[in-house]
Amino acid sequence: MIQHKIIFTGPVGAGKTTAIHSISDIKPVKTDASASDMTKDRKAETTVAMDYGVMNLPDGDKIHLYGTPGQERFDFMWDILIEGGIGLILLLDNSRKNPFQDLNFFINAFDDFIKQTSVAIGVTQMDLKATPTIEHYHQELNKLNVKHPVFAVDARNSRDVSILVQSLLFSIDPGIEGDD
Amino acid sequence: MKQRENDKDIKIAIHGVPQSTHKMLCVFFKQISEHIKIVNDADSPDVDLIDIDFAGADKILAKQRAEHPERILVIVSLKNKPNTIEHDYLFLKKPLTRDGIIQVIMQCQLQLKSPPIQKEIEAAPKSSALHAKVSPAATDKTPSSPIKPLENHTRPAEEFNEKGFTRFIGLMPTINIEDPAQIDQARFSPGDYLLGSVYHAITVARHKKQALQVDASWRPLLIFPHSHEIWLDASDHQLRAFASLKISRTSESKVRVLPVNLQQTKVNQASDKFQDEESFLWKLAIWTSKGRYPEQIDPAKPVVLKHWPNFTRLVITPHALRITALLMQQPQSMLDVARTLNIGPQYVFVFISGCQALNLVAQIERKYGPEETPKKKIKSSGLLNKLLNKLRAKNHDDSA
Repeated sequence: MIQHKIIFTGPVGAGKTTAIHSISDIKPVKTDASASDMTKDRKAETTVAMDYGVMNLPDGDKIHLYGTPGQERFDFMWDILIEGGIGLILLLDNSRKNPFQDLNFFINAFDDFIKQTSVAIGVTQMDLKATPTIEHYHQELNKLNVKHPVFAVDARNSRDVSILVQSLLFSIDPGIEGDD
Repeated sequence: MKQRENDKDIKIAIHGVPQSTHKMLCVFFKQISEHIKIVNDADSPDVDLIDIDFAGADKILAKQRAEHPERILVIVSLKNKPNTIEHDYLFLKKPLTRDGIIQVIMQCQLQLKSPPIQKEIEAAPKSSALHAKVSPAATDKTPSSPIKPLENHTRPAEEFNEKGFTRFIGLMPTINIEDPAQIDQARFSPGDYLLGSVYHAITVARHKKQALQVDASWRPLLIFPHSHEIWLDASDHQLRAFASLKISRTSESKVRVLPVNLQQTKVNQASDKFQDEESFLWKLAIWTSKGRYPEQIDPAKPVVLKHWPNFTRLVITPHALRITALLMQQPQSMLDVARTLNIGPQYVFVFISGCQALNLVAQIERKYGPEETPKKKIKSSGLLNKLLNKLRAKNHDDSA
């Protein structure tokens, strides 16, 4: 059976776990543990393996929602996770020291997957730090010669996360209509 | 637009005081808050503080206003507030008091819409040798500032299908894409409406870096370029009604753009009336459009979309995400977009109206001859459709 997946990635504390929780039909399976090494200053607990949620669709179809571990020492898992993925949701924490470095890192790390599918970018914590602005992120993406959706996102708000995922779907295929 | 380097700092240039007083004031301001920076005129201050008791102060005042009208003006004098100064200004009476300065700084903050530093001011030591020297009237019981701290004025997105959107926007005409006359009639001139005046005023406010007020013989509308916010004492329902009214060209003189006079506004009493500038402009544009397109956009020429609008903070018009995704793949004319997606052109027109208000669109010459259209309809995916329905249903459940 084909596994339909959407992958949520981004640095530690960007809101991947929360975003999956806000649209999942099941209580997400969390694999958080006490933070160690570089993450301990940002979160008391962090995802050391992966998060998992699911969206149940008609006719028994399921969309599995996987969150990658934020810590780079687990990046060996990313290739396994993205296999068969529909697309990528990249969440960036605007309050981090250098969010553009994060943007470039993740766009580069998932380059092949993004080329095969698509990516939508959500910027969290903009209420804590207003800059860089969404416009600045687009300017940064222009340097990479790509035009991905970038939205201000509150990961706790299911509507924000839903719009982000919808933009991913339309980026893959603008022809989809839904039933309205 | 250029952001202020540090949103929390207020940079003040002091004019018309002897060097010794200047030094003393520097220390005095620093004691009140580390975020008050006394700078030179060349360091792009936010505020010009001028002591008009100083000989030659009138010339300094005239020069500063002529060269830097965007800066906030603070007048200092031993005498009572002068009424001979034509410009908008804040007033500080000498001898300077800590509380008097705090009041003025708070008003400057409001005009600049920078984050409040009141807490730090309150926490600063209240007595010092210098303070006592400069401010013998430091025991003034000035009431605490009514200025409220900055709030987050972003609003969550609203997503509409065709039916719900018609209710939201009011009357929405159906346009036959194959009838050139109907397409031609569906254009509008933003300059004929409040939209044009607000757009023009925002451009000026950004250029001058000055808070401005649009007086269109309606509710006062204030523009704060530093924080990208609009203040309007009207409900969305009232705005929707006014947005669709044509402001006659003959009464253009009635629409005035003025510097903000905070004393004459209700900003302090109604901080909940602030709106994010982008969301406001977008909303105003779609209420003005009502399914029509701005006359500057040729419906038959390809439209280039600069980037995705920040949809999580905007009213999402019907098919907006699909239209955006299509235009991101390739520039197309508004009419081609409607044909490709098989949707009413009015939905493309209203979306492009919003994008134009946010400077997101440009037009290029047609690359292909008209004989090459219509384009192939894009094949849709069953799984993605199901997922889309699920996400939309979830949104409706959450908003119910």
